[in-house]
Amino acid sequence: MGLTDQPVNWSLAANAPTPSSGEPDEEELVSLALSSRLELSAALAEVQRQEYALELTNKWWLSTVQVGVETEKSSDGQFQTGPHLSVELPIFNQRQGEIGRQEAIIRQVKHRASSIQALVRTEVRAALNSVVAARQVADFYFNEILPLRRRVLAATQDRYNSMFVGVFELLSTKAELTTAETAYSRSLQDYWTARSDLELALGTRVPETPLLVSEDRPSKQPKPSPPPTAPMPPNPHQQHQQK
Amino acid sequence: MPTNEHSPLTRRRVLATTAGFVAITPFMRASAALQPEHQGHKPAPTPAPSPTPAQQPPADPASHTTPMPRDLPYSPVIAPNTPTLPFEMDNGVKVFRLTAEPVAREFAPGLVINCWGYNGQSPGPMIEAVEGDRVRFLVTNNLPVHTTIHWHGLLLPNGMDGVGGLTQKHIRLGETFKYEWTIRGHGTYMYHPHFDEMFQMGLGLMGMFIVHPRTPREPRVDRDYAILLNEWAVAPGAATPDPTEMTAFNLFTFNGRVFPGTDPIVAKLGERVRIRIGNLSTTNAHPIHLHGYNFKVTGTDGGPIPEPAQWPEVTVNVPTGASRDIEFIADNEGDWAFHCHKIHHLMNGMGHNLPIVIGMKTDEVNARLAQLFPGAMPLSVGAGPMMKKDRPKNTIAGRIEGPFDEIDAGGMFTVVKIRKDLTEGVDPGWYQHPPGTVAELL
Repeated sequence: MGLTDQPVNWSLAANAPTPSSGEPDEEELVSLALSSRLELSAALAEVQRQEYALELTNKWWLSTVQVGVETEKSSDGQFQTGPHLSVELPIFNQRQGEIGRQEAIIRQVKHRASSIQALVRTEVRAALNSVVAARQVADFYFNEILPLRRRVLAATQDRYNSMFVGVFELLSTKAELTTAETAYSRSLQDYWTARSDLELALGTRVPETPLLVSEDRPSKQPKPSPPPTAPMPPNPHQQHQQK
Repeated sequence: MPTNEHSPLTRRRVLATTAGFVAITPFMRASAALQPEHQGHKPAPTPAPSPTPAQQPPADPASHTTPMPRDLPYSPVIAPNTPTLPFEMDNGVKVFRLTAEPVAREFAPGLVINCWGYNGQSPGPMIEAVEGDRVRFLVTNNLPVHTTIHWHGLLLPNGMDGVGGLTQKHIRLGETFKYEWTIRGHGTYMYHPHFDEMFQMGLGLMGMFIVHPRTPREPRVDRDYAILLNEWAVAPGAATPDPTEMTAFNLFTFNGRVFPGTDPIVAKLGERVRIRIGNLSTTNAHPIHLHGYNFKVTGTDGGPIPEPAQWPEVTVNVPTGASRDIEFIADNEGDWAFHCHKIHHLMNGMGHNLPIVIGMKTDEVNARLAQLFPGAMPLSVGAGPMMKKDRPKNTIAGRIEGPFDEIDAGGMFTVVKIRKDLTEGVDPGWYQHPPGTVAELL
């Protein structure tokens, strides 16, 4: 997340952009995360390393064949030098212990990699649900509440101009519009925070395209058929999103 | 619906004229779609419930200036903006038909209110009968609820009194009830439902019921007007009254119209004029004030007041559920204001609890308001800067351009126009003052 000892030169946009009109497909995001998350890559590399270690363990001769030169001084003072060959015959010790240990290590690192994969999927889906929920809130403010508040203000001003209501009611209507605008800003903040959390879960940027247009958009574009999803425990947010 | 407002000759007019009781034909042009035809003596079939409210065509301001014929058994009463209920004779019985139904009533141009009324309008048509008449009323209910009709102030058999549950069964949707009795006494009476009065009267179900004396009272009047008072609570921008309101009313009507929608009251110089005022408002009494005259209260819904008991007034308070007849000699030419003197009752829907800025230095506030609210009127003392445009829909300003300046009035307000020369059937227009008789700038 930009933590660096180098000086950074960030600038803020004058206005938070409105949310995108939809989110990328969930399974694509999960695939992207599975290929982007560094701790998962590290865990998978560890699995490879341990599997290689097992291979080496299985090459029994690598460690038990000893070739050398041996010199010994006999009792008559003569030195005798000759080659040395030592071979461990896998008769009594077939290294079951070492291999078993190594296989256990492999199972362990594989499980660890699986758990990281599951964690990545969970984090991506949870973050995506947060993005969807935050976008729906922001959209609702933008498409429903703000226009209604503006209509109420315009109608109240007409009523004020016709002396049906006083200036205080006009002012309080304006204050209500301002409150709604503030709430919309907060919903934008929530949305972009959720987007950042999603990128953290992805381990990379959210791809800009392709976007799924979800059902709550006013554009009423046909929704692409949902891609097959991996078996997942039921998730209320997920169900809400797909309803 | 089609209107026959401007057609010069209609079957109803021909019928009405031949019936000989309507020389004031313009008042007979009640909504044609809603009034049953009256030829023949067979009762009309029960009309189907109307799903959409009927619209009463707006009245013609000049319509009531036709003089009264002297050869009638009685002098017909003119109810501005309101037709007179026709009747047919059936073996000596005057048969009237009333249908209670939802209606759309134009209170004034630009202001149409969803009411309940009779025969296509609220108030319902004015009933006229003569002391001693045998009358029969066929009352049909086209409302979504039960109803009855109570003949307010009339002396009649108890079972004809129309109090739902107490003296009769309710009239249910689509049913027609018959009321019949012989009229005793004479005076200015009214009719209205006596079932769920809050909703049904609050939505406008009511009308005037004039009974003429068998022997005309002397001195006879030349022009006899009738005005029914009502008050309404209609949220600005809405069209349907809130009948549950008890105190904060915002529209006040003469015969279901607010100024500038109220027809003027017209008379010729020297004529004796009677104005009958009935009040069926939910809550308020209305002190009705006539400019330029003192008048005498000559009758109530209890009957005529003997001449020695009449005293002069310029304002007559008309309680709700009561009527007052006033009379005066039209000896003072001009355009005379005639209105309820509760000053909130001569406004059209303005708010009544606005912040007061009298004494404030408003310049800086106004500058900041203009920044916050482009197009909003500045804070002001009085209703001076009130906008005429950009108003909520279905609201009107209650200001019209008068002959000298804006006339700032609405609600229960009309003009009594007394003229030396009067062309009958034509609105006399604004009064032309003789030179030197108008207040002027020094």
